Amino acid sequence: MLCERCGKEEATVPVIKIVGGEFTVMHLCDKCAEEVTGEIKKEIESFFPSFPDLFLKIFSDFPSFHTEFFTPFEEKIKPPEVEEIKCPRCGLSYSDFKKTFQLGCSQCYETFKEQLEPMLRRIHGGIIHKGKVPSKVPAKAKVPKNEIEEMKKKLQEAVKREEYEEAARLRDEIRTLETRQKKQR
Amino acid sequence: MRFKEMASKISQWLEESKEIVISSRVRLARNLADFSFTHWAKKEDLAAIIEQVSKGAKRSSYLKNALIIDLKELDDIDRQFLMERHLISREHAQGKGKERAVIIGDKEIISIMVNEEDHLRIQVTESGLNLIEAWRLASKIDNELEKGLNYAYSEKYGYLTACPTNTGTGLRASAMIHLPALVISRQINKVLDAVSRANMAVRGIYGEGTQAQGDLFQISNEISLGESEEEIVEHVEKAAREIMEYEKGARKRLLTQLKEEIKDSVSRAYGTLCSAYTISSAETLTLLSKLRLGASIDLAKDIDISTLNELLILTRPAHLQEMAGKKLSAPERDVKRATLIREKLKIRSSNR
Repeated sequence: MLCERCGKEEATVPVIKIVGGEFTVMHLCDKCAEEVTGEIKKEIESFFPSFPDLFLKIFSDFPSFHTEFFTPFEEKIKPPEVEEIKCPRCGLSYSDFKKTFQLGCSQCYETFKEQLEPMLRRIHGGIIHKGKVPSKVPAKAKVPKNEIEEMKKKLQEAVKREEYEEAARLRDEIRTLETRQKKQR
Repeated sequence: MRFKEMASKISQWLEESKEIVISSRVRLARNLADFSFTHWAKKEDLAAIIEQVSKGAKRSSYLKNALIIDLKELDDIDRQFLMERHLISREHAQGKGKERAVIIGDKEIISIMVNEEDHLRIQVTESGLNLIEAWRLASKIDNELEKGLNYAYSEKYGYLTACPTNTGTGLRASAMIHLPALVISRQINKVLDAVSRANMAVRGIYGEGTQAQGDLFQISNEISLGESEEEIVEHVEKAAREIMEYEKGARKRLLTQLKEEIKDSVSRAYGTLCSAYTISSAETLTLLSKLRLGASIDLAKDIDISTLNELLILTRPAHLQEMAGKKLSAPERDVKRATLIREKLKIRSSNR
């Protein structure tokens, strides 16, 4: 069978795309599969800035079967899959981390964010840095605007659910981040 | 073995220390953004990290005359020697064959471990309770190093470290405290319990996982994220000051209630140290602790605390071997140790 996208090369990779409840299967050649994955990655990024690498990584572990999930945000990854999450930059898996309690590189903080944040909160009581700022902060280190928006959404939800303790915590965290960003401007 | 000269003297910060709080230490954990963390990095990356940090250190005004030591080139005794002087951690002394280094500044106040758990561990030690000064100096060195290095930092989580327990400020502020009266009066557990309830850790003198010997304890912060460095340092200082007051109270009570017993135990300690022909490291620490207590509550007025501080370090196993310039068995060390103690205490009494 020829690739459904370019119509020239032999199709080697079935790509399954799930958006909401709908899913489509496309048979693609290697080159097109990569390009499509890249596009999907961008789409996810615009939705969900901190997670694409993590999602891509999970599914690239199944060779010749590229799948992209657009799971609703609330849906958490299932535990056995968590163990297999690998940092795209350094290759450390979550189970490696559990063995040594040592992360592999600075990127791991993004890769394992969902697991790390509750852990950091348990250890330190908070997750937002309040101390020293280096004289040069690279753009990559900045908190993206939409992450703060995301936190604000969570805050509203917490208020709706009448979880005031959680709401107060989020309010303080948002405040800390916003005042710091104002200062830097 | 290469530290013979250094082994016969102790660092100034310890020599000058006469208080209940013997020393204050601050360490900052930093990593370079372009490399994996130490345990996960390739050998050639670790070597590149050493090179970058050494270059940075050479440019720093605080580290102009610093010694840069490749730990690969040292034998086990040399590495243990640096650990006994608190210049490197136990973990840094133990890792075999790995690319790692230590940069030691003037008077041994500043030391930077390279490729310990984090790429950099900047450490500053001051005499007595002086965490604020230690933090200020550590931060200045950090600023200078940062100019030439690309630190792993996130606006949200702060400085990124290999272990999530150090994330944020990367700061550990600790005070080494001598608490013999609280130990004798069996109040020590109560005090240490209170310390850990206040989110502080209590450790032995050589850091994590080491036992408290010679009534010496180390208290330090557990939290590194969500509080500023100044807040953390203040909390540890406050806790240390409170413990110091408890110890002072316990000493007063000992003097009023158990004066004869304490006097007897101090004199016996002195007698043993002055006349023993062979003595173990553990017994030495126990007896030195008693003598230090005696000296500070005027039961052994003629004992100079700096001599005791000196003995505290010089009688450690690797120090004895460096001084001798050769490997010694445990029984050989015990004889050497006893000789050294007799000499030091005799010099002192003949000076009177």
